[in-house]
Amino acid sequence: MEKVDHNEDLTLVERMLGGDENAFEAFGERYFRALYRFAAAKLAGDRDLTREIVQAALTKALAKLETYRGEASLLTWLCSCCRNEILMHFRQRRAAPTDVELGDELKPAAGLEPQGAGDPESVLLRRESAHRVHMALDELPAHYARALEWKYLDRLAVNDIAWRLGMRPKAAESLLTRARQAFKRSYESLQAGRDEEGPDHG
Amino acid sequence: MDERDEETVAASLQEEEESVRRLLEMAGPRPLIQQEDLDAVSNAARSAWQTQVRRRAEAAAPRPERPFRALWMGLAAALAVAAGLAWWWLSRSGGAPPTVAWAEAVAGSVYVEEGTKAPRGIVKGEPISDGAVLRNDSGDEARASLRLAGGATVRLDVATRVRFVSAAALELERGGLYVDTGSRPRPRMAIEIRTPAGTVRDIGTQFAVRIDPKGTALLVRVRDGAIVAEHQGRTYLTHEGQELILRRDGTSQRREIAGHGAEWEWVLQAAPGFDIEGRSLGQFLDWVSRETGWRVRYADEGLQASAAGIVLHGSLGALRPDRAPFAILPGAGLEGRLEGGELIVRRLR
Repeated sequence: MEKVDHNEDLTLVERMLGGDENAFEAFGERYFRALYRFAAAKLAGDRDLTREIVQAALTKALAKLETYRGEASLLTWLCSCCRNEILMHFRQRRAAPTDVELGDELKPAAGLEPQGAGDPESVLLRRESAHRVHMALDELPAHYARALEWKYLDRLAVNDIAWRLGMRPKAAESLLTRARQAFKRSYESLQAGRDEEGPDHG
Repeated sequence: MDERDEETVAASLQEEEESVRRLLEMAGPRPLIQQEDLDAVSNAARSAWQTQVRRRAEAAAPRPERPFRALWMGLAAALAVAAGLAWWWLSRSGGAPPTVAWAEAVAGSVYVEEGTKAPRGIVKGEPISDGAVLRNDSGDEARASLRLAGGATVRLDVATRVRFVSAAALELERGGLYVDTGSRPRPRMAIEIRTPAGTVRDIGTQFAVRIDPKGTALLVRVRDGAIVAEHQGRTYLTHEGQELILRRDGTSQRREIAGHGAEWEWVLQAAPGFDIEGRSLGQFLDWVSRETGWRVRYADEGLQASAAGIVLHGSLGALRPDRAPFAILPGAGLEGRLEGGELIVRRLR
């Protein structure tokens, strides 16, 4: 697999360690939602427990932030901290984590089910993939994610997207191109993190 | 780049678009995450981060106290104010057009065009004269907040072009504006926003106006108070919590909206800072409420009564209004909890 560097993540971590408030804001914007979604899926949507686990995972991750070396993306690193927290939680309670359930809201739109959608393996793969798509969107700047959703889920024309974003159509086209590239990078990075962690990644 | 290269790039972009489209369609919409859950996570993370930063700073190099630092900073601030006043006084003389607004906060490249002069970038504190055009349509994420001579504030979203006809009338040629005419009822000039698709007048309010790129539709969102929009000889009264779209073909559309959330995100991004030093907790929370659209509720009456007597110190730095309470309240022995657009303030247990 191609080696990807995570210089941008390393720079963000350096700035945070230096006490840069803007860096912390950027960190929150980029990762809190994705991390929450990661945990919520593992915990079958238990809100209180998800909140507790994510708070604990972030507290511990931030306390050892200087150990982040950029070997994986920052989101993958945070997910790994969160996964440890979930495992520890269930070990302490001598219980097995509830398996990820496919909620109604994660089901694909009618007519989009692929062939073989009914067999358990396909369902699991699709569920994981959908989950990664949502996390990748969470990691993007909000207006990038919104623009992609408007285009591919709400099927809005570029002119309508441009209007909603308060920009010219040409600028919206450029923004969509940048958003697609950022989305792909984020999605592939999550995919790579999953491959590195093996089948029991969550 | 030769023709073959261009074809290769185009094919690659098309392939990328197709794969992104397939993934998004397969995944469907993102399940909603409650804002209060994110706020709880954010508060815990901020606290852990601040502890980590403090620990590192202490470990690095403990510095001796510098008793004269505050004095020097005070002198520097006084000199800056004096220089600003002198410059403002000098700019008034010499027959220049009257100043109708001042830049309160500028992020990115925002330009002013005055008469025949070449456009120039503006900075915080810059006066805007009668007839000037402000624009931030160079394609970056530039935004600005301005205070009009009458006291109201106006914020420019990205890709906006607006002419300051007077301290009370603006012509929006492109993009979007947010207007806040103040919370207290007091005699002042009503603000008028003129657009190719209609005119909007405030009746003591906070509202956002946007026109589509062709100038054929006008969108107004009212967060607080009410506005009157005029369009093709008809008037439309629109109250807080409503969105109104007026189209040049004479049609209109109205819907209910929240005073907080995604529709107001850019307004938060363009918000000027708030100096908390010496201000009361009540004043701070009033500012938070006005900027975020959240209602503030105190957990008990005693706390509400004492809010005016709790004096804050320090600086918010780059904290946005929707993050500030969660960083500031713990320092006053309080905590904030966000529930459905309501910020509940209570004592730390």
